[in-house]
Amino acid sequence: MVNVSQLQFRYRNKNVFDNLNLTLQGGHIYGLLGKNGSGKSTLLRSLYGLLYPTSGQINVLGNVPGLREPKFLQQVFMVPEEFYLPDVKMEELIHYHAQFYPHFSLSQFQNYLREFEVPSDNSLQQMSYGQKKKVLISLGLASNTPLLLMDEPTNGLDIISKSQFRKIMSGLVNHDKCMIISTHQLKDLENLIDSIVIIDEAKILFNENLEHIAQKLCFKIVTDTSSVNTALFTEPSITGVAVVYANTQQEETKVDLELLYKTVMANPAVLNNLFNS
Amino acid sequence: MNQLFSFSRWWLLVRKTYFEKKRLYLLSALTILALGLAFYIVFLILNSTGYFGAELQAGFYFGGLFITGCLFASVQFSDLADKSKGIAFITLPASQLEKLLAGVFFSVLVFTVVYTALFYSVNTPALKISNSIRYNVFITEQEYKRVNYPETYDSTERFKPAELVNVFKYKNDSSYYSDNDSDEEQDVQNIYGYIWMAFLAVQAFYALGSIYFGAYSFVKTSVSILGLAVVFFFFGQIITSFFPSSYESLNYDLYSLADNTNIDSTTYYNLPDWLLVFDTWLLQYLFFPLFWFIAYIRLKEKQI
Repeated sequence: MVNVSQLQFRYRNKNVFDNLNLTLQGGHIYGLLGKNGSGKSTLLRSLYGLLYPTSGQINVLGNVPGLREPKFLQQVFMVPEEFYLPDVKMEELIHYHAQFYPHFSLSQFQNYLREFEVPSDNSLQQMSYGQKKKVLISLGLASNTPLLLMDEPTNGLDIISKSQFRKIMSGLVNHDKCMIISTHQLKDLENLIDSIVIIDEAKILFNENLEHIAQKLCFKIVTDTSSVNTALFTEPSITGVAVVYANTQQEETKVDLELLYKTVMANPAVLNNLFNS
Repeated sequence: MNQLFSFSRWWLLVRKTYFEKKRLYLLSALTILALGLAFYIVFLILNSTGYFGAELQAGFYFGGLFITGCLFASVQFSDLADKSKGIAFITLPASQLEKLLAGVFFSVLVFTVVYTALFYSVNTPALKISNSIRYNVFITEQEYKRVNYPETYDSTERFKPAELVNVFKYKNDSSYYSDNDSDEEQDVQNIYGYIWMAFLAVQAFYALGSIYFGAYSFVKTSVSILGLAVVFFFFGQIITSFFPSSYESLNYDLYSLADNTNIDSTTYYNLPDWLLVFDTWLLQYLFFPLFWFIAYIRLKEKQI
C-alpha cells in the first residue's frame, strides 16, 4: 500500500531523511514513533504529497503523492496536528465533504459523532477544540479512505474521548485499510496498534509488528536484580525494576510500548540483530 | 475521471468555496459599498456644483477597481499562508488547476461583477444628485442673467446633464454631445480596454503574490511591483546611456539621431507598424495569462 524507497529529504541543510526505506501493508494500524524533530510529521506529509522529497520514490496506493491528483487525494485522509475546519454548519460541511470522498458514509459519521458525544446540530464555530477534533476524526473515519494518516490525534481529547477513540479505531481494521498514527502518547496507542515504526537519525530504526515483538522480547517488572544483568534494557519502577529481555524461553508477556521504544533507542543495533536472527 | 480538469468537480469546488467564505465575501461587498458611499458623500459635499462627467466617474470606477480588486486577489490564496488551512486546501480532492480556476472565477469574474454592480448602485444616484444640484444652479444663473444682464441672457441655452459612464466603452466627455466622433476621439475609444487588461494583469500578479508570499502578501506584492518598476527604470537608463548623445526619442515609435558634424543632417528611425502592433498585443494580452500560469505552477509546487 505504501512504498518508500531511498527517500532523501533535506530541510535547512539538515538531513531529515537519508535513504529512508519503508513498506506498509493494508490491514494494519501502524504506530509511528520518534523523538521531537525526528521527521514523523514530515513523513506523513510526504506520503500525502504535501512535501516533495529531495530524491527517492514514494508510491502510495499506486500513485505518486506529489502529483496531487484527485484520484489519489480522495483515497487518503489526514488528521493533522494543527487542523482547520471552516466556520459552517455541520450539514454544509458534510454535504460538500461527502461529494469529494466517494466512499463517505453519513450513517457512519453520525455514529462516530454519537460515540464521541458531539452534538451534531451545532455550528463548528460554537465547538471547542476537542469537539472539532472529534468531528475531524469522524470525518476521516467515515470517508472510508484506504489510507488514514493521523498526527497526534489524541492531543486535545479528554480521557473519556481517548478511550472512545481507541474503541472506534480498533473496530475499523480491515484488510483494505492502512492507518498510520504518529504520537508521543504511547498509552493512547495501547491495544490499538499492531505494528511499530520508529524513526531516528533520518532513518527507520525499527519496523516490526507486535506479534513478532512479543515473540522476540519479554517485558517484566522484577524485584530480583540478579537477572537484570542479561536484560536489554532496565528502568527502575515503583514496584521493582522494569526489564526487557530477549525472549529465549518463549514466554508470553504483554508488549509495553514505552519500554520497547526506550529499548530500541538505547540498543538499536542489538535489537536489529535480534529481530533479524 | 479526468485528473486535470472536470467541470462538475470544479463547480462543486466553487460552491464549497462560496459556502465556506460567503460571510467574508458579504462583508467585503458591504465594506466596498460603505466606503463608496462615504467617498461619494464627501465628493458631493466638496464638489457640489462641479461637472461630474463620465471621465471622472470612470476615474473613480477604475481607481476603486484597482485598489479593491488587488486587495481581494491578494487574499485569494491566503489559506496557503496558514499551515492548517493550507493542508486542507492542498489535500482537497480536486486538481490544482481546478483550485486555481476557482480562484480566477471569484477574483476576476465574481469580484468584477459585484464591484461593478456596487459602483453603479452608488454612482447612479450620486450622478442624479449632482445633475440636480447643477440644474438648480443653472436655472438660478439663467434667471439672474435674464433679470440683471439681459444682454448676456441666451434663452436657447439648455442644461447639459452629465451622463452615466459606460466603463466598458470609452467616450470622452465632449463626445457625449457629438453625433459624429472626430477621428482623434475614435482613436482613443479603446482606452478602457487597455485599462481593463492592465487591471487583469495587475490583479493576476497580486493573486500570484498571495501564493508566493503568504502572510502580508498585499504589502509584499506592492513592494515587489515597486521594486520591479525601479529595476525596469534603471535598466532603461543603462541601455539608453550607451546610445549616442545626439539620440532623441521623439515618440514611442519615432527616434532621431543627429549628425554632430552637420547640424542640418538628422536621421529619423521609425519602428515598423507590425512591431508596434505586436508590442501592444503582447502588453495587453500576455501578462494576464502569464501571471495566472505562473500562479498555477507555484500552486502545484507549494509545499506545506
